[in-house]
Amino acid sequence: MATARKGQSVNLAMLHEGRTLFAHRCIECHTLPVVWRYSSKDWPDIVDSMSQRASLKPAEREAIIAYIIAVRLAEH
Amino acid sequence: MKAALRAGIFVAAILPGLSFGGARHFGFIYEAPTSAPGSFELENWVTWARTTNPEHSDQVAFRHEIEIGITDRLQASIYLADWFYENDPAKSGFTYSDSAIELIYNLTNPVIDPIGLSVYQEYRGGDRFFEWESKLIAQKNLGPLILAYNATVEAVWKGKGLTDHEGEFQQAVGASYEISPRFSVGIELLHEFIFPKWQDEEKIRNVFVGPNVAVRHGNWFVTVTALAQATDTSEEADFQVRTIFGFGL
Repeated sequence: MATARKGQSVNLAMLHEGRTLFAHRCIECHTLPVVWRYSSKDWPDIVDSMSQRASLKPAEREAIIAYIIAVRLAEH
Repeated sequence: MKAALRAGIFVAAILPGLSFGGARHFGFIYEAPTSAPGSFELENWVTWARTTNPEHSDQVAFRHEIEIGITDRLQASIYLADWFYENDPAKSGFTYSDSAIELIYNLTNPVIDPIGLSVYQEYRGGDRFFEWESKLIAQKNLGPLILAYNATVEAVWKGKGLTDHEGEFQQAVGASYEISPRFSVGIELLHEFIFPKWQDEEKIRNVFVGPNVAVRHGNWFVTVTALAQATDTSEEADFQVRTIFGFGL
Protein backbone atom coordinates (compact mmCIF):
# COMPACT_ATOMS: atom_id res chain seq x y z
CA MET A 1 0.00 0.00 0.00
CA ALA A 2 1.09 3.54 -0.76
CA THR A 3 -0.61 6.92 -0.47
CA ALA A 4 -1.60 9.37 -3.17
CA ARG A 5 -3.53 12.25 -1.75
CA LYS A 6 -3.13 12.87 1.97
CA GLY A 7 -4.44 9.92 3.94
CA GLN A 8 -5.65 8.01 0.88
CA SER A 9 -4.64 4.38 0.47
CA VAL A 10 -3.63 3.12 -2.96
CA ASN A 11 -3.43 -0.41 -4.29
CA LEU A 12 -2.26 -2.03 -7.51
CA ALA A 13 -5.76 -2.25 -8.99
CA MET A 14 -6.26 1.46 -8.47
CA LEU A 15 -2.93 2.25 -10.13
CA HIS A 16 -3.81 0.01 -13.07
CA GLU A 17 -7.17 1.75 -13.47
CA GLY A 18 -5.44 5.11 -13.19
CA ARG A 19 -3.02 4.21 -15.98
CA THR A 20 -5.84 3.04 -18.25
CA LEU A 21 -7.92 6.16 -17.62
CA PHE A 22 -4.92 8.46 -18.04
CA ALA A 23 -4.14 6.93 -21.42
CA HIS A 24 -7.74 6.80 -22.64
CA ARG A 25 -9.53 9.87 -21.35
CA CYS A 26 -6.85 12.55 -21.37
CA ILE A 27 -5.93 12.01 -25.04
CA GLU A 28 -9.45 12.86 -26.13
CA CYS A 29 -8.35 16.50 -25.96
CA HIS A 30 -4.54 16.62 -25.76
CA THR A 31 -1.46 14.44 -25.88
CA LEU A 32 -0.16 13.07 -22.59
CA PRO A 33 2.26 15.30 -20.74
CA VAL A 34 5.32 13.73 -19.15
CA VAL A 35 4.44 13.29 -15.50
CA TRP A 36 7.46 15.21 -14.18
CA ARG A 37 6.40 18.37 -16.03
CA TYR A 38 4.32 19.32 -12.98
CA SER A 39 4.94 18.72 -9.29
CA SER A 40 3.13 16.14 -7.17
CA LYS A 41 1.51 19.08 -5.39
CA ASP A 42 0.18 20.54 -8.67
CA TRP A 43 -1.11 17.35 -10.31
CA PRO A 44 -4.30 16.93 -8.22
CA ASP A 45 -5.44 20.46 -9.11
CA ILE A 46 -4.57 19.93 -12.78
CA VAL A 47 -6.58 16.69 -12.96
CA ASP A 48 -9.42 18.22 -10.94
CA SER A 49 -9.65 21.14 -13.32
CA MET A 50 -10.29 18.84 -16.30
CA SER A 51 -12.20 16.02 -14.61
CA GLN A 52 -15.68 17.30 -15.41
CA ARG A 53 -14.75 17.83 -19.05
CA ALA A 54 -13.37 14.28 -19.24
CA SER A 55 -16.44 12.75 -17.56
CA LEU A 56 -14.35 11.45 -14.67
CA LYS A 57 -16.15 10.14 -11.62
CA PRO A 58 -14.50 11.02 -8.28
CA ALA A 59 -12.96 7.54 -7.92
CA GLU A 60 -11.60 7.68 -11.47
CA ARG A 61 -10.09 11.10 -10.84
CA GLU A 62 -8.39 9.78 -7.69
CA ALA A 63 -7.07 6.76 -9.58
CA ILE A 64 -5.45 8.99 -12.23
CA ILE A 65 -3.86 11.20 -9.59
CA ALA A 66 -2.61 8.15 -7.68
CA TYR A 67 -1.10 6.69 -10.85
CA ILE A 68 0.70 9.92 -11.79
CA ILE A 69 2.10 10.40 -8.30
CA ALA A 70 3.17 6.74 -8.15
CA VAL A 71 5.03 7.09 -11.48
CA ARG A 72 6.75 10.23 -10.25
CA LEU A 73 7.83 8.44 -7.07
CA ALA A 74 9.05 5.42 -9.05
CA GLU A 75 11.08 7.63 -11.41
CA HIS A 76 12.81 9.22 -8.47
CA MET B 1 -34.50 20.06 -41.19
CA LYS B 2 -36.32 22.34 -38.72
CA ALA B 3 -37.67 19.31 -36.89
CA ALA B 4 -34.16 17.85 -36.61
CA LEU B 5 -32.79 21.13 -35.28
CA ARG B 6 -35.64 21.42 -32.77
CA ALA B 7 -34.93 17.86 -31.62
CA GLY B 8 -31.27 18.74 -31.14
CA ILE B 9 -32.08 21.84 -29.12
CA PHE B 10 -34.54 19.83 -27.00
CA VAL B 11 -31.97 17.12 -26.29
CA ALA B 12 -29.41 19.78 -25.44
CA ALA B 13 -31.84 21.46 -23.08
CA ILE B 14 -32.64 18.31 -21.11
CA LEU B 15 -29.02 17.28 -20.69
CA PRO B 16 -27.34 20.21 -18.98
CA GLY B 17 -23.96 20.03 -17.28
CA LEU B 18 -22.63 17.07 -19.21
CA SER B 19 -19.06 16.89 -20.28
CA PHE B 20 -16.99 17.49 -23.35
CA GLY B 21 -16.56 14.78 -25.97
CA GLY B 22 -13.00 15.71 -26.92
CA ALA B 23 -11.12 18.06 -29.20
CA ARG B 24 -10.19 17.47 -32.82
CA HIS B 25 -6.63 17.98 -34.00
CA PHE B 26 -7.53 17.46 -37.68
CA GLY B 27 -10.20 18.86 -39.96
CA PHE B 28 -10.45 16.02 -42.51
CA ILE B 29 -9.03 13.09 -40.54
CA TYR B 30 -10.66 11.17 -37.72
CA GLU B 31 -8.74 10.21 -34.58
CA ALA B 32 -8.88 6.83 -32.84
CA PRO B 33 -9.91 7.84 -29.28
CA THR B 34 -13.65 7.92 -28.69
CA SER B 35 -15.60 10.25 -26.42
CA ALA B 36 -15.91 9.53 -22.72
CA PRO B 37 -19.12 7.75 -21.71
CA GLY B 38 -21.79 10.27 -20.82
CA SER B 39 -20.15 13.10 -22.74
CA PHE B 40 -22.29 15.22 -25.02
CA GLU B 41 -20.92 17.66 -27.53
CA LEU B 42 -22.20 19.86 -30.35
CA GLU B 43 -19.94 20.32 -33.35
CA ASN B 44 -20.53 22.77 -36.17
CA TRP B 45 -18.62 22.35 -39.42
CA VAL B 46 -18.21 24.94 -42.15
CA THR B 47 -16.38 23.92 -45.34
CA TRP B 48 -15.75 26.43 -48.10
CA ALA B 49 -14.68 24.96 -51.44
CA ARG B 50 -13.78 26.90 -54.59
CA THR B 51 -13.73 25.29 -58.01
CA THR B 52 -12.43 27.03 -61.16
CA ASN B 53 -12.16 24.14 -63.60
CA PRO B 54 -14.14 24.08 -65.87
CA GLU B 55 -15.94 27.12 -64.42
CA HIS B 56 -15.85 29.23 -61.30
CA SER B 57 -18.08 28.20 -58.41
CA ASP B 58 -18.12 28.41 -54.64
CA GLN B 59 -19.79 26.15 -52.15
CA VAL B 60 -20.06 26.62 -48.41
CA ALA B 61 -21.23 23.45 -46.66
CA PHE B 62 -22.52 23.33 -43.09
CA ARG B 63 -22.87 20.43 -40.67
CA HIS B 64 -24.42 20.36 -37.21
CA GLU B 65 -23.44 17.25 -35.31
CA ILE B 66 -24.22 15.96 -31.84
CA GLU B 67 -21.56 13.58 -30.51
CA ILE B 68 -22.39 11.26 -27.63
CA GLY B 69 -20.07 9.02 -25.64
CA ILE B 70 -21.94 5.75 -25.13
CA THR B 71 -19.37 3.47 -23.47
CA ASP B 72 -15.61 3.60 -22.92
CA ARG B 73 -15.16 2.44 -26.51
CA LEU B 74 -18.33 3.34 -28.41
CA GLN B 75 -19.27 6.79 -29.66
CA ALA B 76 -22.35 7.81 -31.64
CA SER B 77 -22.99 10.96 -33.63
CA ILE B 78 -26.08 12.38 -35.21
CA TYR B 79 -25.67 14.78 -38.10
CA LEU B 80 -28.78 16.87 -37.57
CA ALA B 81 -28.38 18.53 -40.93
CA ASP B 82 -25.87 18.84 -43.73
CA TRP B 83 -26.75 21.79 -45.91
CA PHE B 84 -24.88 24.12 -48.23
CA TYR B 85 -24.85 27.41 -50.03
CA GLU B 86 -23.83 27.22 -53.66
CA ASN B 87 -22.91 29.98 -56.06
CA ASP B 88 -22.12 29.14 -59.66
CA PRO B 89 -23.11 30.50 -63.09
CA ALA B 90 -26.17 28.24 -63.26
CA LYS B 91 -27.66 28.74 -59.80
CA SER B 92 -27.14 30.02 -56.32
CA GLY B 93 -28.87 29.41 -53.03
CA PHE B 94 -29.20 27.21 -49.98
CA THR B 95 -29.94 23.49 -50.21
CA TYR B 96 -30.57 20.87 -47.53
CA SER B 97 -28.46 17.83 -48.33
CA ASP B 98 -28.93 15.07 -45.77
CA SER B 99 -28.86 13.87 -42.18
CA ALA B 100 -26.79 10.98 -40.88
CA ILE B 101 -25.84 8.68 -38.06
CA GLU B 102 -22.25 7.69 -37.32
CA LEU B 103 -20.79 5.07 -34.97
CA ILE B 104 -17.14 4.73 -33.94
CA TYR B 105 -15.83 1.76 -31.98
CA ASN B 106 -12.35 1.96 -30.48
CA LEU B 107 -10.26 -1.21 -30.55
CA THR B 108 -6.82 -0.21 -29.29
CA ASN B 109 -5.18 2.78 -27.67
CA PRO B 110 -2.65 5.00 -29.52
CA VAL B 111 -0.53 5.48 -26.39
CA ILE B 112 -0.54 2.11 -24.63
CA ASP B 113 -0.76 -0.16 -27.68
CA PRO B 114 1.65 -0.24 -30.64
CA ILE B 115 -1.05 1.44 -32.71
CA GLY B 116 -4.47 2.86 -31.88
CA LEU B 117 -7.28 1.54 -34.07
CA SER B 118 -10.97 2.35 -34.41
CA VAL B 119 -13.65 1.34 -36.87
CA TYR B 120 -16.22 3.76 -38.19
CA GLN B 121 -19.59 3.31 -39.85
CA GLU B 122 -21.87 6.00 -41.20
CA TYR B 123 -25.27 5.98 -42.87
CA ARG B 124 -26.48 9.14 -44.54
CA GLY B 125 -29.83 9.86 -46.12
CA GLY B 126 -31.44 12.81 -47.87
CA ASP B 127 -33.71 13.69 -50.75
CA ARG B 128 -32.99 11.02 -53.39
CA PHE B 129 -29.69 10.34 -51.69
CA PHE B 130 -28.23 7.53 -49.59
CA GLU B 131 -24.62 7.01 -48.58
CA TRP B 132 -22.85 4.21 -46.75
CA GLU B 133 -19.35 4.89 -45.46
CA SER B 134 -16.88 2.68 -43.60
CA LYS B 135 -13.56 3.75 -42.25
CA LEU B 136 -10.53 2.30 -40.52
CA ILE B 137 -8.88 4.83 -38.24
CA ALA B 138 -5.27 4.35 -37.14
CA GLN B 139 -3.32 6.62 -34.84
CA LYS B 140 -0.07 6.73 -32.94
CA ASN B 141 0.84 9.28 -30.30
CA LEU B 142 4.56 9.92 -29.90
CA GLY B 143 4.95 12.46 -27.12
CA PRO B 144 3.46 15.72 -28.42
CA LEU B 145 3.13 14.33 -31.96
CA ILE B 146 -0.07 12.70 -33.24
CA LEU B 147 0.13 10.64 -36.43
CA ALA B 148 -3.17 9.57 -37.95
CA TYR B 149 -4.29 7.55 -40.97
CA ASN B 150 -7.79 6.89 -42.30
CA ALA B 151 -8.80 4.43 -45.01
CA THR B 152 -12.36 5.08 -46.18
CA VAL B 153 -14.70 3.25 -48.52
CA GLU B 154 -17.98 4.87 -49.46
CA ALA B 155 -20.87 4.07 -51.74
CA VAL B 156 -23.46 6.60 -52.87
CA TRP B 157 -26.88 6.04 -54.42
CA LYS B 158 -28.65 9.14 -55.71
CA GLY B 159 -31.17 10.52 -58.17
CA LYS B 160 -34.67 9.39 -59.01
CA GLY B 161 -35.09 5.84 -57.77
CA LEU B 162 -31.53 6.02 -56.40
CA THR B 163 -30.34 4.59 -59.71
CA ASP B 164 -27.18 6.71 -60.03
CA HIS B 165 -24.32 5.31 -58.02
CA GLU B 166 -20.75 6.23 -57.27
CA GLY B 167 -17.98 4.83 -55.11
CA GLU B 168 -14.90 6.27 -53.51
CA PHE B 169 -11.84 5.00 -51.75
CA GLN B 170 -9.93 7.57 -49.79
CA GLN B 171 -6.69 7.51 -47.86
CA ALA B 172 -5.90 10.34 -45.49
CA VAL B 173 -2.77 10.84 -43.50
CA GLY B 174 -1.88 13.62 -41.10
CA ALA B 175 0.46 14.79 -38.39
CA SER B 176 -0.31 17.20 -35.59
CA TYR B 177 2.26 18.61 -33.21
CA GLU B 178 1.04 19.90 -29.86
CA ILE B 179 2.92 23.10 -29.12
CA SER B 180 0.99 23.44 -25.87
CA PRO B 181 -1.98 21.53 -24.41
CA ARG B 182 -4.18 24.21 -25.96
CA PHE B 183 -2.56 24.68 -29.37
CA SER B 184 -1.53 22.32 -32.18
CA VAL B 185 -0.36 22.71 -35.75
CA GLY B 186 -0.02 20.07 -38.41
CA ILE B 187 -0.48 18.88 -41.97
CA GLU B 188 -3.07 16.73 -43.72
CA LEU B 189 -3.07 14.89 -47.03
CA LEU B 190 -6.04 13.29 -48.79
CA HIS B 191 -5.73 10.83 -51.65
CA GLU B 192 -9.04 10.06 -53.34
CA PHE B 193 -9.97 7.38 -55.87
CA ILE B 194 -13.35 8.16 -57.44
CA PHE B 195 -15.39 5.42 -59.12
CA PRO B 196 -18.33 6.83 -61.14
CA LYS B 197 -20.96 4.10 -61.58
CA TRP B 198 -18.61 1.99 -59.45
CA GLN B 199 -16.27 1.72 -62.41
CA ASP B 200 -12.65 2.85 -62.67
CA GLU B 201 -12.61 3.61 -66.39
CA GLU B 202 -11.97 7.34 -65.93
CA LYS B 203 -9.09 6.81 -63.46
CA ILE B 204 -10.08 9.81 -61.35
CA ARG B 205 -7.50 10.48 -58.67
CA ASN B 206 -7.39 13.56 -56.45
CA VAL B 207 -4.76 14.65 -53.99
CA PHE B 208 -5.31 17.47 -51.51
CA VAL B 209 -2.70 18.71 -49.07
CA GLY B 210 -2.46 21.54 -46.57
CA PRO B 211 -1.91 22.73 -43.01
CA ASN B 212 -4.11 22.64 -39.95
CA VAL B 213 -4.36 24.57 -36.69
CA ALA B 214 -6.28 23.48 -33.59
CA VAL B 215 -7.04 25.51 -30.48
CA ARG B 216 -8.87 24.22 -27.41
CA HIS B 217 -9.74 25.68 -24.04
CA GLY B 218 -12.25 24.76 -21.37
CA ASN B 219 -15.05 22.85 -23.02
CA TRP B 220 -14.61 24.13 -26.57
CA PHE B 221 -12.25 23.73 -29.50
CA VAL B 222 -11.73 25.16 -32.97
CA THR B 223 -9.88 23.34 -35.74
CA VAL B 224 -9.12 24.86 -39.14
CA THR B 225 -7.67 22.96 -42.10
CA ALA B 226 -6.93 24.44 -45.54
CA LEU B 227 -6.31 22.00 -48.38
CA ALA B 228 -5.21 22.73 -51.94
CA GLN B 229 -5.64 20.31 -54.82
CA ALA B 230 -2.27 18.95 -55.90
CA THR B 231 -3.76 17.21 -58.94
CA ASP B 232 -5.62 18.82 -61.85
CA THR B 233 -9.01 17.15 -61.76
CA SER B 234 -11.87 18.96 -63.45
CA GLU B 235 -14.97 19.68 -61.30
CA GLU B 236 -13.02 19.15 -58.10
CA ALA B 237 -12.27 21.98 -55.69
CA ASP B 238 -9.04 23.90 -56.20
CA PHE B 239 -8.97 24.45 -52.48
CA GLN B 240 -11.17 23.86 -49.48
CA VAL B 241 -11.08 25.31 -45.99
CA ARG B 242 -12.83 23.54 -43.14
CA THR B 243 -13.51 25.00 -39.71
CA ILE B 244 -14.91 22.84 -36.93
CA PHE B 245 -16.16 24.47 -33.74
CA GLY B 246 -17.14 22.10 -30.95
CA PHE B 247 -18.29 22.60 -27.40
CA GLY B 248 -19.52 20.43 -24.55
CA LEU B 249 -23.14 20.70 -23.47
